[in-house]
Amino acid sequence: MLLNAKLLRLAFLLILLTPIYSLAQVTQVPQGTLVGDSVINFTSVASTLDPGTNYDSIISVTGASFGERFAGQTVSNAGDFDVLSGTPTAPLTLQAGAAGQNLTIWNGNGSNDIVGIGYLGYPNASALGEGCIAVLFDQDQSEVGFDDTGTNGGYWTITFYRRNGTLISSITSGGFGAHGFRRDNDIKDIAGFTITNTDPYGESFTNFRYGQSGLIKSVQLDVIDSAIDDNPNAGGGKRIFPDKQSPSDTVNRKRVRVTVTTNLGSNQTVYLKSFDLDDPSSNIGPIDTNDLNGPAGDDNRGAPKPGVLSLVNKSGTTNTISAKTDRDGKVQVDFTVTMQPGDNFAVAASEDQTYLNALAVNGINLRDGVGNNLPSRKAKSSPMLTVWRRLHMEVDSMGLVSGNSVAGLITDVVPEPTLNTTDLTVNQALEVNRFEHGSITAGGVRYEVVSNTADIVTIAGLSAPTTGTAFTLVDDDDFNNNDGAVPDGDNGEDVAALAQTFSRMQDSDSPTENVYAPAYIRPVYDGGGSTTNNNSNVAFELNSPDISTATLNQINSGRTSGSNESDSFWVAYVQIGYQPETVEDSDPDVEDATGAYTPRYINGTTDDVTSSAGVTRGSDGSLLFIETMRDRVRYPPTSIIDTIAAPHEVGHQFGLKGDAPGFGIMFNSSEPPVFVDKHLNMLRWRVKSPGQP
Amino acid sequence: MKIFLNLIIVLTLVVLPSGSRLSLAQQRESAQEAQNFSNLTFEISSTKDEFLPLEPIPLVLVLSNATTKPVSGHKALDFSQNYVELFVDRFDGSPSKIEIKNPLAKLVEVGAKVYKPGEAYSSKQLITTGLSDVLSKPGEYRLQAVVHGANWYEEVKSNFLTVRIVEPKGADKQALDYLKGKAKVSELFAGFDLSEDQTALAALEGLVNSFGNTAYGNYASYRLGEFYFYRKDYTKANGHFGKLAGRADFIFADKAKQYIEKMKKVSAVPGENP
Repeated sequence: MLLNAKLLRLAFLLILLTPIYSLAQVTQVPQGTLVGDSVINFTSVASTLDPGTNYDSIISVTGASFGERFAGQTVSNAGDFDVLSGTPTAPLTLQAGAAGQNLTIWNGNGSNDIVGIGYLGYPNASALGEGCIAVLFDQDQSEVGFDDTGTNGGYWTITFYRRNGTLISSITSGGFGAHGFRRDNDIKDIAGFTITNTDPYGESFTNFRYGQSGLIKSVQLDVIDSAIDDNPNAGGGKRIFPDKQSPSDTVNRKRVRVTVTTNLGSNQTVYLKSFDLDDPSSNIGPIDTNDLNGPAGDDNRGAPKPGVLSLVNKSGTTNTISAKTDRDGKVQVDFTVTMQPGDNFAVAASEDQTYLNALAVNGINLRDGVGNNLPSRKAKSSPMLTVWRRLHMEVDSMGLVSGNSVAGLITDVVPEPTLNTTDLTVNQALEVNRFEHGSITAGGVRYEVVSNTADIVTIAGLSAPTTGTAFTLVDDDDFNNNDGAVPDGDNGEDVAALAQTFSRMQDSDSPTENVYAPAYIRPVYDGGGSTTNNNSNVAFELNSPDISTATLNQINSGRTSGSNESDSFWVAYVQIGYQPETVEDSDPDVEDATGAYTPRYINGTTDDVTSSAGVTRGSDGSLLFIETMRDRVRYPPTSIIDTIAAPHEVGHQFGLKGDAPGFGIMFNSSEPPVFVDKHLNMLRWRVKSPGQP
Repeated sequence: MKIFLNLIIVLTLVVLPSGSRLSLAQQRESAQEAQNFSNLTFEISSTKDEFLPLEPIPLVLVLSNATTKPVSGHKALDFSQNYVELFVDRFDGSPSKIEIKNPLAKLVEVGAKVYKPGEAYSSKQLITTGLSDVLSKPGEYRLQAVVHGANWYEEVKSNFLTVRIVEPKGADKQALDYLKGKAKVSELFAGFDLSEDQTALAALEGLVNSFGNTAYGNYASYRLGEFYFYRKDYTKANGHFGKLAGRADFIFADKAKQYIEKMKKVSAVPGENP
């Protein structure tokens, strides 16, 4: 009975009770040895003197919540005391007791204490303190503690559980005052615990402590000159873009500051080591070729693979370093990453150099010499840090459409009553069936074109112009789909990218919005270094010749970002054109559709590389044919060429060959619009800006 | 072993006969009724059967419907469209694939052409070889082409074409020795842009100047003519194409004529883009 507790408390004050039962997974330790400094003392929770403030629901405070039991457990009673049985279900979830049988917060002891209520119910004095208490932490812990403020010589049993509901161990002990518990090997997997008791007058508790054990408290990565944010790709952790932020940027963007927080006090030596973690994006070649026996590190593509540690604002040469703690027990050093996209790292710190040197990569974690993953009592690790690269895009477009019509004279008119059509013979050479779905205007009247041969235009109906009438023919070209029922051949309209043109290579981390995201590359539409580079008025070509010199001429007539390119500033160039050669412009609809040209350098593309040296030069730029792609996606409507062309051609600029089945987006619409592993591997090996020798 | 091929121009169209009135709807309906792509016939031939080492080998590819029913097909016979593969062997039954190196990468989706009975489509292409390619060594070879259907997984194999590579003599031998001394010899005739490759440009100029009448000279002139045409140096372009337009034995004589016609239009309309 809690109300009588004060009378007996002093009698038991100095009793030191050793644990009666333990499973040796959690060890009871003096609370003063706990490193964790987070404390829950319920000062933010309303409380009263006897019998305390009743709470029928879960009590949530910073870091943890309190209830009666975990889901999956049942409460019965033995005498006035609650008894827990059953196994918690996953994930570990708090449950409140029945109304009046859950918890109170009581301040009759000079502090705000939590009190479990037994089955007799609030405010029955024989219930207060006899009930069970369950605690669920927001994050897994490796050490916990509390102050027993209500003992009368009895015992309590604390039972620890993992997040999945499995039992870690149970300890029965007792005694007024502070108690501490540390997970063996400093494993951080205590998600929660329950407390039951058999104290004659019930129990109350406060000052619940929790945290992670060890002298090294944390290893943190901080910004120097490049932002650090969350890595959206496999494995999570942090991300850095180490490349130049502008073409003239001279700042070293490859460094991050490593801050180690310790409990060591000042002027103590801390040892640090950086590691090349496993590539979590794949466990097979060609992306990750060394995982035959399980995920292994040492698979970064840049050099040196584990990066370089150095003193603050100094240069370094290796992946190890030591430094003295400052007056706050902190150490700071600099870490320099490589430049290859997808390279990933971690930095570990320990006060024990021998222990640190025994650390090894275990997937995207580090483990110590006896096989335990960090964090451990002797070492902590930074979050994984992954390199991403930017691809700066200059996007130009041709100017106004012109010349997309044929004019001449009608030299003969032959009605075809049985077909309800009329044949108009013309004095101009025509591409067969180019003008299907188009129109012919003669004598101020527009007629719908059904088909055409080299010199005959067949129009719908029997109403027709007369022989000798001048005509103008336009086909169904309508790149921006704004013509409605009256095709005008886009004449006078400005060629421009459409919403779908770059829809699969957006400035985004989502693989569906940016097919380069799995290669750890993110496009930036900044004109390749300056938005003034973007030119929307490049000379218009109705049909661009499929000759490399001609294509390069057209590209170079717009491209102005070439001089911005460097190994640290990647630039790609796309010019929105109109149509390719007439024999491949999808006019008529059944004709082949070529969506883009990219001029190659000699030996400019390949599909298989095992090093940066094998990556081919690629190309300087690409021409996309916006109108032909629009024709193609209308027939057949299954084509997605208008969404894959830009990333496909930029892939060629990166040196990817493809153009055959099995290469995903580097083939055509018939395959999933993603880069295959061979090409992701090649993108990640690349050092040079696309097209650079 | 590598043999470098170059895209060339589709020269011959045998598509819809003049006066055909097939509407798009009719064509689509016809496509639905058509037989599979594998029912087409694929044939390859060349302009001659003896070539010198490194001399480009012209190929004429013909895809036709020899059946009595419509057949689904396409017209993507240009090497740059990636639907044709080439194989070579020395009559030993172990063909090797010829790597086609195109100066221009294209994103191609083939059209759904229905070949009516008796209908054919042809294309002229060029094989260019390098010193390390199998076709650069004297001997007798068999060439075979495979054209893939729109879905790629259907295919039609061509006949075998026998070609002989023979040792050059006289001026041809001198020209070959000249070529062997040049870098990137395998790409000289392949149509890669010469703007940034002054070495290749000089090599072609030297070949035309010193060995213009050899088996290699015409191809060098054609490449230079094309290069200068698109660099808008019409005087030089006209000089090269002018030598080729009247050559009945040169496979791209008609194309050279077309370039000359375009240049005439340019000179007739100042500022006009050909």
